[in-house]
Amino acid sequence: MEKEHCSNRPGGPWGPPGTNRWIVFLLWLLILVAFAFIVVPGLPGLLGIQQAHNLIIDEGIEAGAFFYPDVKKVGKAESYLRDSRDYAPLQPSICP
Amino acid sequence: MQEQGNRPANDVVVLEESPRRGFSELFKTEDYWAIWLGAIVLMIGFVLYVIMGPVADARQKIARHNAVMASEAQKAPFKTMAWHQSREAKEKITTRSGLAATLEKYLARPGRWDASPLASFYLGPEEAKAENEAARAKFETAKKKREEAEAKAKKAEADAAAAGYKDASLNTQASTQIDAWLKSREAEARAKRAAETKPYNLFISLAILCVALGLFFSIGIKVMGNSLRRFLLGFPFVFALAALSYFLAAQVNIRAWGLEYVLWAIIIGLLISNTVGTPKWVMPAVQTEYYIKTGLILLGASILIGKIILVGLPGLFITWVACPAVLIFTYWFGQRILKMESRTLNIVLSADMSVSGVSAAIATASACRAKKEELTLAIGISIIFTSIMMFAMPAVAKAVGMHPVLAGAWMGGSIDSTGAVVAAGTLLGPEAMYVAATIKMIQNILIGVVAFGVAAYWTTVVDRSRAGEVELTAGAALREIWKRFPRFIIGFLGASLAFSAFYQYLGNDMGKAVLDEGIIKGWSSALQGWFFALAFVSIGLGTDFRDLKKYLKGGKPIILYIVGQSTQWIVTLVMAYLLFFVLFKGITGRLMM
Repeated sequence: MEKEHCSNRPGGPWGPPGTNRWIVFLLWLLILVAFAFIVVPGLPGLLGIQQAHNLIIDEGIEAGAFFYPDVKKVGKAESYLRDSRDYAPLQPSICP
Repeated sequence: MQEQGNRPANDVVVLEESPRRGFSELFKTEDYWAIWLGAIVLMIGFVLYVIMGPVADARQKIARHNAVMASEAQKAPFKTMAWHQSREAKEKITTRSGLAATLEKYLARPGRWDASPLASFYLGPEEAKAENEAARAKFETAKKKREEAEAKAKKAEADAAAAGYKDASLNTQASTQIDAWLKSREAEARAKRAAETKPYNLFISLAILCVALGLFFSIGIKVMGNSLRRFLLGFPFVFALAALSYFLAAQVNIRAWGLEYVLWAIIIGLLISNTVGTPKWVMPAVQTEYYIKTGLILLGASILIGKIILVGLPGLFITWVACPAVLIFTYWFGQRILKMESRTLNIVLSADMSVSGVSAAIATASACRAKKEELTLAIGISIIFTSIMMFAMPAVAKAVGMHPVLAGAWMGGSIDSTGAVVAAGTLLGPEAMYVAATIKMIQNILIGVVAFGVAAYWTTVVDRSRAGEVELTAGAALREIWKRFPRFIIGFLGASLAFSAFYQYLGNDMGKAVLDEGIIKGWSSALQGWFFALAFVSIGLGTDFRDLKKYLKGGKPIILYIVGQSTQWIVTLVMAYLLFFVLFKGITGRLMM
């Protein structure tokens, strides 16, 4: 089945058969663009999390970064905790 | 590497059994080429940031700042302004050489952008000037506020000092004012960055990077016996899509939702391959395994084992006891209760949710030779749930009035990706963010152990039982394990162990300056990101969307994810409470300082 399907694809492996493939491509592209630039920016307002969303933008947090070297604040947090441990004020602290 | 019809051969992340040919194996398989290329990158990094870098100068500066902090800590019962200034100055120290700084510019990804897409790649001198002028007023205001806050903090600290630091109310007043001053400094720094934007043109650097990476990967392509010309012809297309995925992920709203570049790389690839079709001339450059394994070797270098004790035993237990327990439970649940057909999808999803999201999924998928559709599915589910949890968990913590340390540990141990953990922590405040980010970083380090454990389990148990093998002698069994063990995992662990040992040798502060802020952030991590982007574009370009449907049958992956994640929430919360508030209360007090 797949081979038969693929044989219709001069440009590549798994696209729909026939000349409609560019129309399908453009349609999906349109959906993608609408999702990225209309739905995603509109969601925080709809869900009532606009303030939190704006804070993440203002702070410049790399919310999508999946590993720690790509997130600046991780390095800051690490050094802050380490120095707080190694150079802690001797008397009980009252800092917030 | 060959094509089967129009389908690329790298249909799985690491499924193909490579023929073993003794010494020649070292140069004929992607596993070994990943190790060689990864080692080359890391050695270049060593030259740039250690041999050529200002190491002695960094050591002197660190010693000076540490002396100031030690002296200030003896003086006052709170962190003084000088203490904070020294700490912040120390944090910025790196051993980047001049050449390293130049090269870093050529590794730049498309930048953050809002309304103008072009700003992600290009900013002319006139536009930069206009942006700076527009941001100037905000910067001046922030500067004025910082000066006011600084004056108040200085006065409050002087008052506390005049009382010999014995007046509790004056001490409290001083620390409150210092806290306000620190916040004003951050705001000023942000405003300053906006007001000092320099012109840039990423089109040129991206073109150079494309050529450099194409040539870099072509070494292995050639030696492995593939057509160099065909690879180099298709590579710019794959690279352009990788750059496009970074561009989309850099849009401010998309970025704030945590919809990372790997997701866009897969979507763009899928969109092309399942509509107009991946052009045949591109297929020789669709080298998923080659890119992903090389990226994983570099990822290994950033797994620095010594960091696991940063927040003492509580952090260690939350990450190194709770996470493996949830991983094993989720795998068991998928096999015994849900009866998932694919063990590899089961373990990839389990590692993804219990360890650290995308990075754990990539490492585990490679270790157990999962299919690329399984990795795609695991990453897709993880990113969607992470985006929701990033906002939902701080809201819950706030609603129930959870202690910042408990909330930070809970979120750090439960939310999949590091960036989302930091975002969630920031929504609750600095203490929660510090704890959350650190717990997550410790959890990131678990990836090495999990990848090794999964590779060993698959080699010794799953693959052997699948093959229905009879009992072997101990020696024969070991040979069999060695034959099947994914070689790049050895490189991955080797990079981690070598860099961990070097980090320990340097000590925490120098280790941070040389490795964290130097080789890793400036060099290997930037390249690793590009390699993963190329890999995920390749996955998309080589995937039939219909193949994903069968894995979603009965909604089992989603049920597994929800059950596993719910278990993770409960286990992490209970453990964090017991460890931080019952067994090790002193540590919680120190974290709140």
